[in-house]
Amino acid sequence: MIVDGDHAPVEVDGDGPVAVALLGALQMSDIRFEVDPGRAGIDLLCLRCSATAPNRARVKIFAPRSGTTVAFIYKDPQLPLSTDRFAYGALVLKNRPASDEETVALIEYLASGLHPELRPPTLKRAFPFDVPR
Amino acid sequence: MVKVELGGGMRYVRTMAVPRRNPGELQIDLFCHGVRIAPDPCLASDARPIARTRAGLGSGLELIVPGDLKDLWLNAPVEEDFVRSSPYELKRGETGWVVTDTRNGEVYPVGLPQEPDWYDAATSSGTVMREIGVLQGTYLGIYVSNSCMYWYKDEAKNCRFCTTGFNVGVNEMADKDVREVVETAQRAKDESGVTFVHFNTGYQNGRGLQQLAPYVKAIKEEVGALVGVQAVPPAREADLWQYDWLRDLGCDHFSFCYEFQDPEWFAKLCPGKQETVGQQAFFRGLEYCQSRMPKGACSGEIIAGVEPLEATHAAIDYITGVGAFPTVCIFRPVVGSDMEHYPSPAFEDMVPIMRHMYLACRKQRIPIGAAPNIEVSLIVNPDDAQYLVPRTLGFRIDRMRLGIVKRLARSHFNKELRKRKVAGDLDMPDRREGVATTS
Repeated sequence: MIVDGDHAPVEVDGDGPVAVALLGALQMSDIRFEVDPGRAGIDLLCLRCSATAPNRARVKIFAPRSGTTVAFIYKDPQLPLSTDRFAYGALVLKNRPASDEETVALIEYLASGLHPELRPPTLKRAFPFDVPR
Repeated sequence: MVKVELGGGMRYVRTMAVPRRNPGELQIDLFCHGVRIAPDPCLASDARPIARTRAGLGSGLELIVPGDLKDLWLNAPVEEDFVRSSPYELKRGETGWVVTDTRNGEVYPVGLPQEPDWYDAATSSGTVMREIGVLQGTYLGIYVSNSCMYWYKDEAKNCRFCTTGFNVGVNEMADKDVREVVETAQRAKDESGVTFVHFNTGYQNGRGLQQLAPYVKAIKEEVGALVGVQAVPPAREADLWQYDWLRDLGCDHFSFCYEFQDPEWFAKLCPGKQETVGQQAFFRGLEYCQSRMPKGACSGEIIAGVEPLEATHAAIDYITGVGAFPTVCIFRPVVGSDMEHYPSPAFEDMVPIMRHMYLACRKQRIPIGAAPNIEVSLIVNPDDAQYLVPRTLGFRIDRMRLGIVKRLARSHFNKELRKRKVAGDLDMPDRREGVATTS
């Protein structure tokens, strides 16, 4: 489910059918994702906490160019003066939707707080485009 | 401290109160433990923003530890998980920022280098300059192009400790125009007193040195600064002449990041380097360049705290033995890296390594600390480690010798800090004979 800053369910529009399908899967998930309208693309924070710490996993869905949709996985820094984003890779979809396996793996990875053993095998570690803020 | 076997390896266990650290020891302890930061509204305005741009091993807060021999720069870990249990806490004292050791109550004054104004300035193309390059200590570090190609393989071959591939395009620009690099370097020189610009490419399918050429030439001719280059060396000995070509274009320094001396550790943790060029290519490149350049002009870059300490000792002996200087990084399990869950090294293991580095440099008469205003915050600089040896008469004579070398080298460095036309041409010579520089 996707929620707003007050944790109320909210509908979000994706940029193109691939993004819409991916967002639909996140919307139907029983895990809550909080959308941040102040960030570029559709930027979601996973709200499932672990036993010891809040989940810092985020996914930003955006289209760097026509025909390409990206789900970029990252964490925000813990320190307020840091401008870094801690990247964990991206699902890059070129002229195709995410498969069911990719979608499930992505959600599990986010829900785990980006546990290394749950890293989806199809995540690209590097990509030739800039990720908007 | 006693050394005991713990979790499959030897570890030091604290058995008595921790003594007050001298500046060199404090630098190393902060690298190993990181520093927790007490919430303070002034920190954002006082400190450089934390930027992991081009960071393989660094992503922390830039600090200066003052000392009587020299001030020490370090990029202290702040984001990694192990920092949560650090005994060190940064807070604002009555007269400035201090680091407190909660184990013994010792308080150490530290400096926080300020964010330069040019960080937020835009190039003529509109790019924010901090996305072109960042200060790492007192030098300007620039990762010139698309990420290291080891990150682009279907099965990633990136060095396992590194996060560079995760930065480019995320925390910095993917493509850097020569003009924008020149503009950024000029501002960094004018406003931050930068004397050294260091370019890095990561692996570029064997074209790294070629890719760097226009940047090197432009900095020498249009800015006037010392220029260093780091790229994965050519796999073939026959291609080493490219280093001569880059020297003709003005390059003053080459660094060879082979990371681990033990071939098995190298192969395991640097799979891309192992597969594409092999460890020997780094040795070949280092020996080739250093044999043609003044003593201490090249460096071998290694990581301490992962492979056995004996191997790190051997690396230092090898690097100084060829006349180069070692740049020794203390391993940091950077957030997002494949080794994120590895432990940070023990202070007690790192001090003898850094002491050995200093002594090995002095034994081989490597002129450490001779270049003007180059302090690298991601490593323990060889002359930082002078704090780790007793101040005997020999030590003082040695420092006097280094002072003389520094004075003698001043005119050379002053010349290199002026814009000058370089001898080389950007058209790559077809073969070695086309290069002006000879040994």
